Amino acid sequence: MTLLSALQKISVIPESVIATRDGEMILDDEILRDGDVVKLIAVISGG
Amino acid sequence: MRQHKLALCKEHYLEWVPEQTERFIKKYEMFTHAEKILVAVSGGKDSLALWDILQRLGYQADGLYLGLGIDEGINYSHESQRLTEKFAAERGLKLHVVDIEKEYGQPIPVLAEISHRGYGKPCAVCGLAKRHEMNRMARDLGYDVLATGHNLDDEAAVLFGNTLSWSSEYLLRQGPVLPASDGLARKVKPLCRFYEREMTAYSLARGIEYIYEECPFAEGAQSIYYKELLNQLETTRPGAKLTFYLRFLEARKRGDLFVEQNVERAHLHSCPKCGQPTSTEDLCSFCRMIDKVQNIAVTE
Repeated sequence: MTLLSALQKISVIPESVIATRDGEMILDDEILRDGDVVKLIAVISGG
Repeated sequence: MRQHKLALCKEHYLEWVPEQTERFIKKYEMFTHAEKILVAVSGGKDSLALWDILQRLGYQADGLYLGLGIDEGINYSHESQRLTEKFAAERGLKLHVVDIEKEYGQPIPVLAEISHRGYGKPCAVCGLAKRHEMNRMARDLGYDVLATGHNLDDEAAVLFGNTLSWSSEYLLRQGPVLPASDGLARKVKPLCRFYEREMTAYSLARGIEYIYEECPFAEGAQSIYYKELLNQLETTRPGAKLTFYLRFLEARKRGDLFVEQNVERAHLHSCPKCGQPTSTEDLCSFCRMIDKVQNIAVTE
């Protein structure tokens, strides 16, 4: 499953986050493997 | 970066962002290397990234941090000031700090409470105080220009809000540069064409330590809701936010916004082929389409 599919599956807007794996940013088409831990960083700020 | 149809490695990405920033600074005639720039820094990703980029590009850029006195149990202002001072100290940059409470007797939340402005939230008073203090410091300290870290998402959200309410006065003022006038310093937004996601990626890749926490008062803010809506649009229509903003700037520059005579002019032409009304002086869209289809049919 790609990162993009995974984000859509959990209803997270891809444009609103940056995903990292092992401290490195990964792109929307990155294939996720079983056991991968992906950290999502929110990009929206402001008020 | 789907909107640019571009994929870059970390090293080239860190070169691409400053190069593009330089391009925007020149395109919109924001400032020159001879001018003194005051960068408003909040400790967030955008303003610190802007300061970092201007320094890398060799501009004379000093920082201004406004201590707003927002705590709300997470030490928000204190932590953002600590990160800003750390950023400046590590790079040997000059930072001016203004503490609102020391200057005006009360922190922002108390000023808002006492003044009864902003419907129970301090955001209106905060915005007002920030604009006032940024301008005061730029003017008093003799800076030529005040630079803020507004990114494309900030600009698109403001534009979206002002379009929903057709706030013509605000729409006619919005842009990458607000020229100096009557005691107001020139204001510029060098990051206004970068997506918020691009600026986050830049700060992370560059190792900039910024405050992740959102201002505690920003929860439920309209601008954040608009950003989320625009991001949903962007996900299915890559480039939508950039087009929304750039087309607006083009229309504003041409003087096409809110001029009644232009609406009339748009209906003045009749298509030379079918005679039906069209906004262009040439063939109408339908006739152009039919021409194209017929041309293709002939060549095949």
